[in-house]
Amino acid sequence: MIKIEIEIVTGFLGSGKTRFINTWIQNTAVVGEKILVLQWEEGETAIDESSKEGHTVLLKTLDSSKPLSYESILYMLTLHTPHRVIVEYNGTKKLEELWVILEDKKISRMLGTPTIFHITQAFTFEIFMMNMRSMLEEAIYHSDLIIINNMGRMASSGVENIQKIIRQINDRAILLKVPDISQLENIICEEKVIGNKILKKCRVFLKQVIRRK
Amino acid sequence: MKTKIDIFSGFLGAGKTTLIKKLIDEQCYTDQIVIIENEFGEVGIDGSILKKNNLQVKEINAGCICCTVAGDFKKAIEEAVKEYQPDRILIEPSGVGKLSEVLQVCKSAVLKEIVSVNTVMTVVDVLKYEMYSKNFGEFYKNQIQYAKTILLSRTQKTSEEKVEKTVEMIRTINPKAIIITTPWDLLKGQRIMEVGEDESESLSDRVKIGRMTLSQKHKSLQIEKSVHHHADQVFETWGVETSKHIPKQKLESILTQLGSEATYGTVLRAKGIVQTDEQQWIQFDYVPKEQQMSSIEPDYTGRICVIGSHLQKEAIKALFLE
Repeated sequence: MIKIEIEIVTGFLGSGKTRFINTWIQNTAVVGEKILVLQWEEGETAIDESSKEGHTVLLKTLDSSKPLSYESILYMLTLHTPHRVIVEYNGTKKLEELWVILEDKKISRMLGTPTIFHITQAFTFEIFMMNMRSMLEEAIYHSDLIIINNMGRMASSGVENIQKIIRQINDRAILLKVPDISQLENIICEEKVIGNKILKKCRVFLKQVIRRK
Repeated sequence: MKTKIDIFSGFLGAGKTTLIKKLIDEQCYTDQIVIIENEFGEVGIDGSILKKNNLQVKEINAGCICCTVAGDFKKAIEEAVKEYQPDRILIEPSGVGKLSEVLQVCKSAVLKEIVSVNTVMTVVDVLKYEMYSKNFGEFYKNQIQYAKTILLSRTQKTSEEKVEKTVEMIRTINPKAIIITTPWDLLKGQRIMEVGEDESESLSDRVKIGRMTLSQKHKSLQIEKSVHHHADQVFETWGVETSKHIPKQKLESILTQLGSEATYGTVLRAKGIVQTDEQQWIQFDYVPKEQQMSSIEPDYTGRICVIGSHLQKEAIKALFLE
């Protein structure tokens, strides 16, 4: 059985997760791909459900006032059989909550190894880390790709400091510095994150699978 | 004398430190004070203010919610009392912590012998309330649930409707707290403290339409000779706190209409304080066929109280608020 690819997008409310997901889908989706977006946080931006690239985006929202439900995740995966599921993770919740569910036998058989993203606003990074380190550290630690958003509004020493703090927690993730959120797409393409080896394997594989069908 | 404790809760960036600074700047605290901060905000309380006002600041590790609240907090309070014997301690807890836990610590066996909780305020950014309450975990709701006073910040930056809507949403979580809706620039720090220390249970107490008024009505009823029951059983009160602006002319017309018994019941008195426009506030007093209005200083929010018998409360509410 082909495993469903899973991507988890973390970051505090207002960091730009939804914007990232929209850009990410636009640049990585292949024709015929069915993407299930599980949104566990409802911010100011909406998920783009249009399918101009020939893919399908299904959006399901999860109630942030409640814990994640194993049954509903299993149900949605079984019902929709997506190629990929993207979870927009609530910034105040522990990733632990999701791990428990992903480790379940039935679900782990369906899903591949998760790719984890973390988005942070440059100008709130330090103040957030000082005051709610415990909420952010875990997500940063587990991330494969970390995006420092809107760093154009920061002095370069400030950006360096952010980088230093992130590197102390996670020294293997790809670190992307985005001067302004509007440049997110360019930077993702330029830096060839999409083609980066961590992410490439699964994406290329998926493309082939879909073409074969 | 036990040391008084004033708690200033609220999420990061809501305006807790700004509020504390305002209260200090406006000399609301004349006694000796220690501030315990469990959060590093963007706004700091700078050294010169502290020196001038003879204040001490104690910082405890921010960031870790669980250990900080239970252990370090208790220790910090104990130490502050021992070291400085202050009259008052201001606590600025972590913005991602639960207010109920801070209260619990203050009421613990050791601390309740040396401190007593005076005010419990939560500062809420009116621009962010909806978004935060939808997405944040339990802690955000908890800070609102356990507050005795809720101060909306940045109300001058949004519409009257948004403020009203936010108040309504907050009321569903905490129906009892006094909600301060007036922009802070217009409100004296002293008034904020008075509201914070207000122990009155009902709105009619806060409108001060209490006993004195009843006896007056008693008289008017006797004159009318229309009611034979004991006064206490007959009178009803309707009251509301509102941030809605009611222009003076409109208020005059409302009070005139209030005389219509068929529509509103027998209104014997109405009293209140409302905001009439951006800057102006009015106090009004109504008895049948007579109304008085005078300008007053901005207050924490508008409030209206109506006393009478057979009151058509829904109609009265619509008359004032729609």
